[in-house]
Amino acid sequence: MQIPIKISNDGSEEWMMLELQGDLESRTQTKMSNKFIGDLHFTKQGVPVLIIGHHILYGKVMDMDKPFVIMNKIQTDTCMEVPESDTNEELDVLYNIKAVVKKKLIFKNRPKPIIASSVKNV
Amino acid sequence: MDEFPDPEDEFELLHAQEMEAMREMEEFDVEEASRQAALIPPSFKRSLNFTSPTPPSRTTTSSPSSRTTTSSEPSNTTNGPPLSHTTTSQGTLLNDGGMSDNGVERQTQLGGTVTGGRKRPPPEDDGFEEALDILDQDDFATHRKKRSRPLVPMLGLSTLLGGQKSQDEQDEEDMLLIQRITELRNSLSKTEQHNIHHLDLQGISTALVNRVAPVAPHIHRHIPSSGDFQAVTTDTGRRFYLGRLEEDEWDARVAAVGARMGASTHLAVGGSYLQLKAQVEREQIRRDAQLAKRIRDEEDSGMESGVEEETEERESLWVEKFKPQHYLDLLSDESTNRMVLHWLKLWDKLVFGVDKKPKKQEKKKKDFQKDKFNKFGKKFGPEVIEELDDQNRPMQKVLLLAGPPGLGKTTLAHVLGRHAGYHTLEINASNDRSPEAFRTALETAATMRSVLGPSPRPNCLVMDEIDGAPAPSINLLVNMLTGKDMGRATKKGSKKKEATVLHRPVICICNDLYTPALRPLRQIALVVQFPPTHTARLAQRLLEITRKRDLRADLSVLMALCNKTENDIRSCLSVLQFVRSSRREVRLEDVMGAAVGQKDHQRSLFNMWSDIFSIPRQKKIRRNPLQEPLADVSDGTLPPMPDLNGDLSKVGEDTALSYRVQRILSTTHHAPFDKLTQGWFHNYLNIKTASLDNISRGLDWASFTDIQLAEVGHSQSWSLMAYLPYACVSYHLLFASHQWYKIQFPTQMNEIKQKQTKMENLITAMVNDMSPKTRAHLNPPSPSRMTCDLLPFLLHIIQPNLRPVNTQLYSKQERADLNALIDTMLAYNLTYTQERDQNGQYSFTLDPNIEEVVQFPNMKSERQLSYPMRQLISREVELERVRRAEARFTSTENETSTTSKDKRNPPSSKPQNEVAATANNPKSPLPNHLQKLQAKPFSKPGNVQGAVKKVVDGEIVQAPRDFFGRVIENPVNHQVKSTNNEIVKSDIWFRFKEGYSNAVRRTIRMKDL
Repeated sequence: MQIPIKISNDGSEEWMMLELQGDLESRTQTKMSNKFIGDLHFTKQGVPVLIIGHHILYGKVMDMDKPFVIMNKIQTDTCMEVPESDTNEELDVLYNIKAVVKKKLIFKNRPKPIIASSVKNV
Repeated sequence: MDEFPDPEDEFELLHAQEMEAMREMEEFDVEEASRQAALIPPSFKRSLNFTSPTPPSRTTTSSPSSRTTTSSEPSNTTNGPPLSHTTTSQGTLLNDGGMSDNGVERQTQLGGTVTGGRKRPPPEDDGFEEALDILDQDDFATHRKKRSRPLVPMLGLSTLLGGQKSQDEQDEEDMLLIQRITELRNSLSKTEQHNIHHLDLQGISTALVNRVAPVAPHIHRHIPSSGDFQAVTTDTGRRFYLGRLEEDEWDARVAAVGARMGASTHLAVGGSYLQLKAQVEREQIRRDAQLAKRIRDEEDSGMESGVEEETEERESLWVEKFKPQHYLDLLSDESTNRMVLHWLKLWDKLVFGVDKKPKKQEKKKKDFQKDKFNKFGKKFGPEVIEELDDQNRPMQKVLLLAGPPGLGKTTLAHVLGRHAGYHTLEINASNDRSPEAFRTALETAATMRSVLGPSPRPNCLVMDEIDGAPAPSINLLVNMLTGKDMGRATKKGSKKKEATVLHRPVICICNDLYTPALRPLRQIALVVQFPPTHTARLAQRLLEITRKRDLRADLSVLMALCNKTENDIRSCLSVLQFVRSSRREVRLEDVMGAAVGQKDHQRSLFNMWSDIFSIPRQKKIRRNPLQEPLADVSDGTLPPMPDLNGDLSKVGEDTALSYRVQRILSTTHHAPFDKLTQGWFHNYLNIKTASLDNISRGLDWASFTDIQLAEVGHSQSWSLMAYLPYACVSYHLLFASHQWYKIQFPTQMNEIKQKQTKMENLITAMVNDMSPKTRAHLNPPSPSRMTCDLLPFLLHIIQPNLRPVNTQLYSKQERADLNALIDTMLAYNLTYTQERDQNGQYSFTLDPNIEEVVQFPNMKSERQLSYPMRQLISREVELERVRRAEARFTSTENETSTTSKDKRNPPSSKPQNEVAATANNPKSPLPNHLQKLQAKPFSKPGNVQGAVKKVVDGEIVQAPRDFFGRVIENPVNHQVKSTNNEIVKSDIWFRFKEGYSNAVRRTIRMKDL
């Protein structure tokens, strides 16, 4: 089977992968899509710092063994509309490469809590 | 007599002597002297001799004696002034003050010799005198040989004159003579009559002086041609040769002098010694007579037994004199004695190292043997000094003897201590009260033993009157006994760290066993209560004593005495001794008249009570009819039976009412009536024979007493007290019986008083805790009103009929009842609390326990709520209380602050919160870490686990319960608490997972994505 892969128009970007040791959960048990997770910063030494809620995580940048590619699966409308043409099936599916992932940020240390209320309470 | 002058004095004397000699040389006139001497009558001469101030210091002349020779040296061998000068110089020596006087004296003496017929004064008399004086010295034996020599040449002339005797014989005789004189002097000195002694000495010397007078020319410068001689060297180096005098010649001269002087001198001829002896004896007799007379005078003032006894008696009281010396003499109760002795013997193992076995045998032995055995055992038994196990000490470390005074407690302790082989060491705790004194005494007793003395025995400490000691001292004693004492840790620090433990028996003696300070001691002590001595036994002993002391006494009289003194041995003996001091017979009047046993003796309350409750027996009355004094009748206020003043013994003969009344009156004369009545009240219902009528009348009297006492206390009119004994009399008449009842000490008063205080406190506390609304209706909330009017009914009201089921199942009516109940209980601030009773059972009791106040003890209230009901009610009350408090709080909160309203809102306002929470999120454009942390109300999750919430139309909200009926903690509260953490803002949060990320690998397929 042939899969046509095409680099997106604006060229392939390099993304980074976030690897967390743990889960992200919502307090309200709502869908997490489109929600703000946290802030990612890099220190001057290049150490990534991730702040999620009242947790602060320190991680490191690693090269991935095998780079990942982010692709978009695009199904042309024409294909859908013509179901009987089995031969054209493969042509209907198109993968668009959005980005390449060559590095990842790994956060595997225990997060540290941010306590800011103590001053206020006192 | 033997004092030598100081060297300077001597020097002065020496010069004075020489100067005097010089002067005398110029002045002396023999004729004048002889004339003067002639004028003086012999008696005067003698008196001069006797009183002449030839003091004891005469021995000083021993050195001048040689000097006299030197000073007389220029005048050489023959008689004449120089020699006489020596005599005068001698006189100056004798009397420093009056030289001239002495000179006169000497002249008179010389004159005496002159009258004897010879014109010349005797030159050598002084020398002779000195010799005698030297002989008088204690160590004359050493001097004798040397100093006796001058004697001889003085008399040498006569030797020359008439001596045919061989020189050896002469020597012997001389020695004999000297010996005789010294003998005589010694015998004189033995009589210890110094006056006479001195006088006699004086006499001797004068006599000799007189006699020797003519013997002048026997001092030779060269070796005499004939006769015996003695060489003398002076300190200037000159040598003289003194001739010897024969014995016979000497005697003859002495005799001559004696005849000349008459019998005036004591040292007469051969019979002088006898004379002196006779005189001495006379003096002795005179003194004896004086002594005897003095003693007789003393006797007359005191008692009239033999002289020795009397003197002894003056020293010791009968109490001391007739103190029991041996175990068998003890008067006290035999079982007590045995117990004490047994306890003492328990120490044997520790103290003497004696085993148990021989101890038992020895116990059965007789007294004396026992003592011996003890000594034996002590001497040769292994003396264990190092630390011993505690089991070697008796369990009770100390013996506490308690009892009224005069029963012989101290005596018992001493006798038994001695008996068991100890050396009793007594300290009086009321004198040496400080802890330091205690410690010293204890340590002394524990560690030391008398080294001196015939038999070193271990100590046994007897602490007398320990009830007088302060508590710290007692505590110290207890600590030392139990081995907790750390010694003087502050002083010596590490050295005394090891605890001092007593290894010697300690016997404590007290009168009052129940002194608070003694409490710790009582716990570790073997307490021996001293029973009173048997009257018969004591009287028997008294009889023995009176016989010994030659005092006529009847046994009945002695019995009466014993009764009167309450068997106080000491006061019995004192009375007897007192009576004996005046006459030889003890009569009943003496005993009754003696102020013994009444003045400081206080009848115990128990005695009074037993008097009240008992009818005296015939026998007892007969024995002591006079025991009760009639003093109280003298009270003017008493309307007494006048016949009682008369012959009381007659009254006592029959058990007439009058006697009984009189007896009670006297007994309770000065009694503490409140206590007395309390005691009566405590015990009167135990009297079986009391009829109801009597009881009622007795109670009337009791209330009379009460009123009187109240009045007395209130208005201080003490004259009313005079009527109170009559109440006692009526108690007696109404309740007395022949039976003997055990009389208990009245404790009810205190108990009831305590209870009352407790109840009042309880009610006060309850009133204070009541809600003000309720309290307003109790104005004034007096305890009695509460107790009588309110609380009994309240108790009924708060115990309604409720079904013992879950409140969920209650009908509306029941619920309303329950609510009303809770309302009521809250109004009075009542609740049920869980308590654990002595059986370990849990029960709910009312919190201010008004049941106690309202109900009589030991009476079940007719209706009691069951345990679960009480539990339920208590829970409801608690909840309601919280609810009210919260409602009040929120209401005030609403008014004051609107900002914090959301947060504190009860869960009913949940939808609002949720809205607020959701609205919070999109409103945050800033990144988290830059956001200001703000308080954010957290919404409660909708599906709280199984919360059963029930909002009844009323206010009551049923709390959620779990299966066991326990109230579930409100989850809302928890959530609110956690959300109070204001850091948490974002919806998404990170949950860290422990472990290694590479440990878990999950395959994700594309199609799953």
